[in-house]
Amino acid sequence: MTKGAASELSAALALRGLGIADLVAVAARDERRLELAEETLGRAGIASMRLRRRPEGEPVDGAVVWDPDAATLEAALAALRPGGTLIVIGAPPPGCSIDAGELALAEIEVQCLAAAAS
Amino acid sequence: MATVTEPARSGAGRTMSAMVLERYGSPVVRRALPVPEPGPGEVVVRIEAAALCGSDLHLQAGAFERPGGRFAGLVPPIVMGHQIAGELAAVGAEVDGLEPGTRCVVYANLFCGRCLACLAGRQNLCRTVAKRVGLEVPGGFAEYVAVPAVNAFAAPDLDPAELSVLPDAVATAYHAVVRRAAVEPGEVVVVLGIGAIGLYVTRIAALRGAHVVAADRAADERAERAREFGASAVLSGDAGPQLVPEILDAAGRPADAVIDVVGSGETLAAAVSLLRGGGRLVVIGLTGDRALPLDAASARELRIMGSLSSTPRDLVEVLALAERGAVEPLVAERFPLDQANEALGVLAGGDAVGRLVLVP
Repeated sequence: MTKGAASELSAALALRGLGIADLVAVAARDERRLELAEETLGRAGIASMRLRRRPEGEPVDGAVVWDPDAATLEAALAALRPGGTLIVIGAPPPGCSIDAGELALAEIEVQCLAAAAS
Repeated sequence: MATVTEPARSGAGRTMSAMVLERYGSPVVRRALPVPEPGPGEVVVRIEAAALCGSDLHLQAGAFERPGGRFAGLVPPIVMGHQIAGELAAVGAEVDGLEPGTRCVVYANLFCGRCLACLAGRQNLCRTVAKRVGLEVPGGFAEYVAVPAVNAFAAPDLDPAELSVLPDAVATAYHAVVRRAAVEPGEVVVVLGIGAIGLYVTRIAALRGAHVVAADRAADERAERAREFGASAVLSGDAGPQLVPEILDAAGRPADAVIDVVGSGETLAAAVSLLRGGGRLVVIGLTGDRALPLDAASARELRIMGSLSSTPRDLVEVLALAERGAVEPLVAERFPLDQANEALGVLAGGDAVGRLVLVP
């Protein structure tokens, strides 16, 4: 799940490198960007990788949020299954917070990465 | 397993006393319920001690009531009590290795043993069962309880009230320190909040060889206990941002890990300020607004981890620590079962050092 323009594809390729083949778009902001990412993945011949829309209510094991905003973070946390991991890349807007109680109750892990901010 | 509303199996028509939460926000009331019989794969424990927990207050207040959420199956009437020690009174069919009369403690999270979470050793997050003794199924505020045999663990030769402290207060702390924070020898660990769980976080982190600094609003006896448990410094005051310079001074350098047992907006903001770049924040507590400032955490590339209860492996390791005297179970006060409301009142007062325990 990403917000930025080229980021969907970047995230997909990075996760592919980690051996993750089933990618779910949870909160793509722009449907056209998602389509472009799908097309690009197809052209690159990454047949073993699937990029699909998340069925309503289906939990995910991990979520990657690029260039985060509060709404995207909230959607990502809500999509995670208990024990899941959220990777936040880039700086959230000033004052942005998340509910630590939800992290505790579902044993969620949040990994913040600042260096690769878009 | 039978529930309060479905007392299908009963011990030859016998009844027992139980303190039942019939409505959120109300006192528990004494009721006569059938003594449970063990189904296949189950045991019945004659409860000798049931410790109280802050989460019992949350449960009583209805704080877990959230339609469609993790606790969707949680509907009164509820027999609370998830920290149980006792003696096996009956063993059901298909149970091996457990005999009546065995002293045991109860691991409160029910689990299937077959889902991916269970197979990964994270039975506290079981994807199939997701029920807990003392929440969705009847718990320890009673004379007997039926649990799956895999949830009953033979206990060392300790006083039952002391044993009842191990499955939750100590095991939850152990899980946070060992499995989540993965504290290493020589690391600086800050513990925010030294109630019962915070004291054991302090103890376990010190046992792991960490340099532990603790902070809590309460002073005196709790602080003294924290020092006894291995804290090299204990600071008194609201563990919010205003206490950060003092904590950093006592720690000598920014913390490698902060374990927040309070979980309020104030302590979470302090935790972020206390950590070195790349440090780990583990959140156990559930208090107040619980807003974690992600903008500040992001700039420092922090790892933030929730920590929920414990796993059976944690409990087994805690029992071994208790057997060799490495952890001292703290019992603040004992109450008869029918004084559960008085005990809950003392718990709400927040001054107890150690667990309050019901002794049926």
